[in-house]
Amino acid sequence: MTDSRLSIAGIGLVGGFGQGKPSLLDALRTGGKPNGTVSVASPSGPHELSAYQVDISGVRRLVAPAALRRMNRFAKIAVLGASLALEDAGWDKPVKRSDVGLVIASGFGASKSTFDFLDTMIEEDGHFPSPTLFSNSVHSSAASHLSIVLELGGPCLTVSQFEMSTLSALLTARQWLLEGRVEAVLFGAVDEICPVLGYCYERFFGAEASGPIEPFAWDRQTAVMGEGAAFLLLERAGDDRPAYGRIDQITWTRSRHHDIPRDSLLVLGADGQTCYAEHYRRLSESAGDRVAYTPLYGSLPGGQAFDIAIAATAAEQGLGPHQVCCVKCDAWGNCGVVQCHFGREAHSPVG
Amino acid sequence: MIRVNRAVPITGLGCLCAAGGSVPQVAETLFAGQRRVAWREVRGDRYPVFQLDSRSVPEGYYEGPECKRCGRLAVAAAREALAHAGLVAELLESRRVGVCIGTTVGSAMNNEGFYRDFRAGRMPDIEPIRHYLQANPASMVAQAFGLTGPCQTITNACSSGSVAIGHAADWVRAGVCDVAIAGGADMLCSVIHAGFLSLLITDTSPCRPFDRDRKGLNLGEGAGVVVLESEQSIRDRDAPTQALLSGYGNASDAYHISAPEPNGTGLRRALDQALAQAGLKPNDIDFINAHGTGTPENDRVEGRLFPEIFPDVPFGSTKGFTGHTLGAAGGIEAVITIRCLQEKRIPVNVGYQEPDPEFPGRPVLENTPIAGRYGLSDSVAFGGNNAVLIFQGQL
Amino acid sequence: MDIRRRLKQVIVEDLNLEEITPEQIRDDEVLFGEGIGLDSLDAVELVVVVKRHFGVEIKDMTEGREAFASIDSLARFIGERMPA
Repeated sequence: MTDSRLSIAGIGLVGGFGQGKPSLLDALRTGGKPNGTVSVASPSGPHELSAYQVDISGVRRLVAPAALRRMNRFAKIAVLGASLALEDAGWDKPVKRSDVGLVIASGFGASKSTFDFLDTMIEEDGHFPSPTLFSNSVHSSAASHLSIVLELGGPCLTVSQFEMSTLSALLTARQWLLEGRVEAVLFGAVDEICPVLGYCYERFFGAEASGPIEPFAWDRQTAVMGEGAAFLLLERAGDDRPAYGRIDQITWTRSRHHDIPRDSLLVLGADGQTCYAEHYRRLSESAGDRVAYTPLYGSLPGGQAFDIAIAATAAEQGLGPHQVCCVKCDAWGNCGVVQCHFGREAHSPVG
Repeated sequence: MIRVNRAVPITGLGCLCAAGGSVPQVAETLFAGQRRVAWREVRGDRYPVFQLDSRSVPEGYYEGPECKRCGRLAVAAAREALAHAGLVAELLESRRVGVCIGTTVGSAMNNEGFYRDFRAGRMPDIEPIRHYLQANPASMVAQAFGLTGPCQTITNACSSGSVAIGHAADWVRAGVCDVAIAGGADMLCSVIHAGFLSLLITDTSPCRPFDRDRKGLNLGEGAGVVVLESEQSIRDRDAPTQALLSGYGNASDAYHISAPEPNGTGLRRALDQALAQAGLKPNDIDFINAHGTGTPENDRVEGRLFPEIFPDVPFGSTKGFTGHTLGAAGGIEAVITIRCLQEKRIPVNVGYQEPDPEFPGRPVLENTPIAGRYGLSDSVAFGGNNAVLIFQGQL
Repeated sequence: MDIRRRLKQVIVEDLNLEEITPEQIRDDEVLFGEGIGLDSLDAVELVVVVKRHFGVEIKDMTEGREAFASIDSLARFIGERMPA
């Protein structure tokens, strides 16, 4: 029987709570909150919207200046997350391997760079569009920069599927591992805040966009924009004891069709957006215990990867259970379910 | 190392681009050697583009928001492919159907008008954003046909269409879905055009893949989609198979964010992977549909690699007929490759006249007969991703 | 301002060269490969830089290649073509 489970060998998290395990554990213990604001224009004048923002200053110690000078912020956030995951797994950097895959899931991609390039098409009557900004504006720019910095010559994928980006991309990561295309996958969800996103939050949600996020207040809009990167270093479940445990099942389904196993903690990707609330509410009804980690990192499409990473870290630290079901829904009723079994005793051969 | 895997059957093809509004039309144009070049003016200079003509655009294409056009192209190609496969609505309802579409423009928030107003502090209406959030090409295909299987929009730049087909085949093989609609879709876009112009990799003449005097690419638009289907599903409805996807390779240059690695190291790895998965040797390949954009750098890499790895295997680029359709290219060229296997011939590498002394590779100078067993299509992406697909004809 | 001095300044600023100051760039400094170590993407960005700051257009990289050899050669190229 083929074992389709995946091991999580390393985790790297960057978000409004900070970077890495100590910051995350701090946030888990104290409860998260936005760490910054974004200035937005509104009909009543400019004001500040709460946001969960990444401090990218740490990327300087990870990347040589020659590579850093033309790297967009989206890629820098990805580099931070990826580097933390590799360090966590005890891997050297650069990786210098062609049997390691790279998968990036992003809801909005390098949108900031798209707008930066548009700036050069608009300013000075558009006579000086910047090829460097254009090169960075493609959604795959983070993957390109990462593959160069980490010397990863294996397969590479960037998925743009809004809230279903993580689940959809995990399906492919699993296939690569099971078919022997790669020996490991560096998997990351990355999303970035930009001024246009702030403007959209203001126009869509008005004063409600300041939060705080109340994931289970189904009838109220409480989303707060977030950015960050959640990276997992994935391997085939084998004979070794995985550092964090396993991803047992990855399922694309419809929210009305799925029942959550009652012995699993339900980790809902509910992030205060009312457009998905009905789907989360319906899933909650069949579940036992439930939790939402979105107040730790904010509202962002790639949030499911954050949920998996946080749940795994919590279990490793004895702050959470081992049987976990992470669920993310989109506005069309699609539902991504990732069933996990965390903890070092999660090792159990199949067959 | 990747194992030899079961090939995945393809039961339907769909395509629309400058060369035609359907697969038969595209094939007819290619084998007639007809170039349908249009011209767009940018800042006083004229540039050749390969755009859909009025007979080829799908119904409703110009209605509604522009940001949904990539999705509409994908839907139109999917419609042709599903009809070709004989997968009517009732059959789709009883199957898990996934969608995997590659694109560049389809995921970009490129609304220049909205952004100009935003920048100028005019506080534009957010209707364009609402439209953008509904314009994901894979989601649009799923919604158009009422599909509930997994969706994936791939943004790997120029290899997206090929990657989409490779991944969709993986899903079918793994039983994640019974049927998968996969390929690529992209529209001509002034913002993207400005970007490529700024890189100085475009030609002011119709492109000349592999030619000594080539100056760069011409942009194009369109969509190319295949229907991949499990053997069980095919048996259940006794459907004909058009071709098999035997091999898929995906590897990265890890070299530069806009220039290909000069020795083609990433492309070489992707070729090796695809051959290994298909259980084939290079001399099993009957022909290659090259990426062949017409840029000095890309064509030099392929022009050196193909004669080395695949000596005596005819190759050619069809971008002289379609332009470079970015995320759609891998999908359109997959359809063309399969059609070539069925017709047992490949079209001329149009635009080529003079051999380049920098590499030994010489593309086909005329429509060329081939055995029709195995065809290979490669896509080399901006940013260093390389994707290779190997198709097996049904002899 | 002298073309060479201005050129060094805009190269450092617009190409985001953080590790070097304009004063550290020699007039005969090789720009591509060794020396400053610029690459193909910098070359096309430099085309934009030269157009924006000096009003001189470089139509393609065949024209640009010789001009971009060093600060000296680029300054000469610009000086010969700069609008009055």
